[in-house]
Amino acid sequence: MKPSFKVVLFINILIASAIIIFVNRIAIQIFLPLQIKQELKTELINYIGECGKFLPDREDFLICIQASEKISLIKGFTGRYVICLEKNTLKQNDACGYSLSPSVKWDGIQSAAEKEIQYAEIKIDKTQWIAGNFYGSTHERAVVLLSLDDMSLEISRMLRAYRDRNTIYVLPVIFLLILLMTWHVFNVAMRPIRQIDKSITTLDLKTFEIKTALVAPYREFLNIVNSFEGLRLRLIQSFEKARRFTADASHELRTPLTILRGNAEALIKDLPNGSNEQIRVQMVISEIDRLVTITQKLLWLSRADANKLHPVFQKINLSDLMGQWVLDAQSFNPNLKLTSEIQPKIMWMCDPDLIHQLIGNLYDNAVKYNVAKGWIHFRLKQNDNGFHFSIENPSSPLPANFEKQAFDRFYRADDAHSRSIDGLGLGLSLCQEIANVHEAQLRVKVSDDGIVTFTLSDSLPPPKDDEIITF
Amino acid sequence: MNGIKVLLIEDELKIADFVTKGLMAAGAQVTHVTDGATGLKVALEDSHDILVLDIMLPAMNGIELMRDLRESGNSRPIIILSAKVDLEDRLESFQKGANDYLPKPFYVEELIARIKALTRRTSSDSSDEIVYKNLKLDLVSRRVDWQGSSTILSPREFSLLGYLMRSPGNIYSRQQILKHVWAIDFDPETNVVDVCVLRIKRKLNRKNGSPASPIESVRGVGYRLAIEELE
Repeated sequence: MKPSFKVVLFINILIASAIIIFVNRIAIQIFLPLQIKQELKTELINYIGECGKFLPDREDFLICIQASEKISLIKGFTGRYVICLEKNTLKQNDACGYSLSPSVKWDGIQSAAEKEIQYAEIKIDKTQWIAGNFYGSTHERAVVLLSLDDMSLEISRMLRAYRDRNTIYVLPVIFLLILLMTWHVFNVAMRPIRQIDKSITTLDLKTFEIKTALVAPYREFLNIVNSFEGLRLRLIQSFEKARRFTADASHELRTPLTILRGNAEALIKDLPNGSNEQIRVQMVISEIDRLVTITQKLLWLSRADANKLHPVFQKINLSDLMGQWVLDAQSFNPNLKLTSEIQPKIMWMCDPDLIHQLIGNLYDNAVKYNVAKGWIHFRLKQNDNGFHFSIENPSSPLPANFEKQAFDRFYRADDAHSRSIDGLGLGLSLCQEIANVHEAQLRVKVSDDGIVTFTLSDSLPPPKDDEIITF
Repeated sequence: MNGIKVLLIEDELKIADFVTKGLMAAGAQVTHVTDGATGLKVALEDSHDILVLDIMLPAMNGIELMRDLRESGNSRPIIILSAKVDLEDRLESFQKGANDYLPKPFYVEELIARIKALTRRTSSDSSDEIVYKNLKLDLVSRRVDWQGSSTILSPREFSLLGYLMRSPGNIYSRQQILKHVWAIDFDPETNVVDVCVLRIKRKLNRKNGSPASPIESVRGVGYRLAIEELE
């Protein structure tokens, strides 16, 4: 079974949405630390700007820093920030106890208050620090260090908070929006396809006409619609040409066939009765008659192709028609055992001439493909939906594709190289066309033991008793 | 058919040739013209019993000819011969005044039979029996009288004998008989025609014990009404 485009489209949109969310999360993971780092630098500048004037006096400087609101904000990150004065006495365990490597690369100088500050990320004793290097107004130099590890902790904490907030409040809303959006996008995407599908399904396979005009809803569909329309018009033209050719050929053959048969008929009268010459001329007439039948069938088929079979409907007693056929069939072929189950008084609105032709062709087929000392069984039954008429017979071996191809034109069930059965392969396809104009179904079934059954069924309700006309 | 005047309007000379011969052999007087305009002129000037008309004609087609003829008050029967076999063509022909329509290819005997039927119908000779010499077939009761005795035929036997009697002496093939009597145009590999003819012969011979039969078998060709036997 083919997968549903609807389902595939839906799944793809969901996957795309999931990828977008994932990428968004990754982007947050990458850009949020950078943003926080930038905020920290700004804070650093601010408190250095405020307290820089106390730089010469370390105690005052510390007091200033501790008193600063900004610092209290930063305290959360650092826990233990350190301020190192040049030439000061360093405490043990103080980061300033380590001399900064001269190779530290300071960032571009930023102006903060009246100070010039440079930044660097440095590693001291396995701890990552961000360092601010600045000069006070009295040209004392100070380096302020903030622990990045502490910052990392803070970043992680913020990320967790962000994720939790997202999980609880934002994600369900996002998912709901994605579902609604997917549904909407799906409908928008499917609308032109549905519109095209609606038009194409009204295509009449016999005439190639479309009942609902096929119009490209958007320019992206222009190519496919134009290609389809081109193909359809081409098919109409080719089909019409082929049909006209068949019809014209069939008409044109009539005049020479008339002359041939007329003269052969005249000749047969002039020849001595029972003479060999007369018999030969009769054989010529028989062949001319076969040609006439073939041209007639071709003409009927071309008419069917053009929807011009024009049946003349009458209400007939199908049971009587079948009964007469069974009687005739019994006299035609006494070597075949004929049996029948015909339910009486089954009425049908049909063209009696066409139906006579249909039954004749099916019967002809049943005789030609029967086995030696075989049988034919006719069955006509009414059920709730309509009637079922069938002709079944045991058959000489048939090709495996018989059921599929039996109604194809020029299809012959017997081997092309050993054809012993007359016919051109037009009879059954004509039967199919006749069934079609009656809106009836003609089917063929071959059983495992070689019994062929042709069934004609109709779904029309039976007429009322007072409408019955004996055929 | 003796003395019936037929005006044949057909541009295809080869068809006109064997139709003329066939009709003349059946005793008709045939006038042949090859185009519609001349055909109309002749039809209006001369008194023919029946017109046999092709549709596709030069100068004026058969439909126009019929229309003009009917408008002029001429009510002679018209049989159309045409390669056009579509229902619309047939209906148009009947609407424009045709009495019968014979699609090509046709049997001359079929044409003769239809001419006979139309001229009989138009001359109010609506007989209920077909008589040929001492063979008489009642169309209502299906009774056949021959050599002083009579018998009732089954519908198929009646139809077959009636068909042969339409043109005594003419040979009808088994296929022709099958098509006319059983209305089938395929070969069901049957000898039903032979069986039916045999039954008719038996019925006719049972009463008078005569070995002679009005139906003659022509070896390898078919059957005919044996005109010699009926002398």
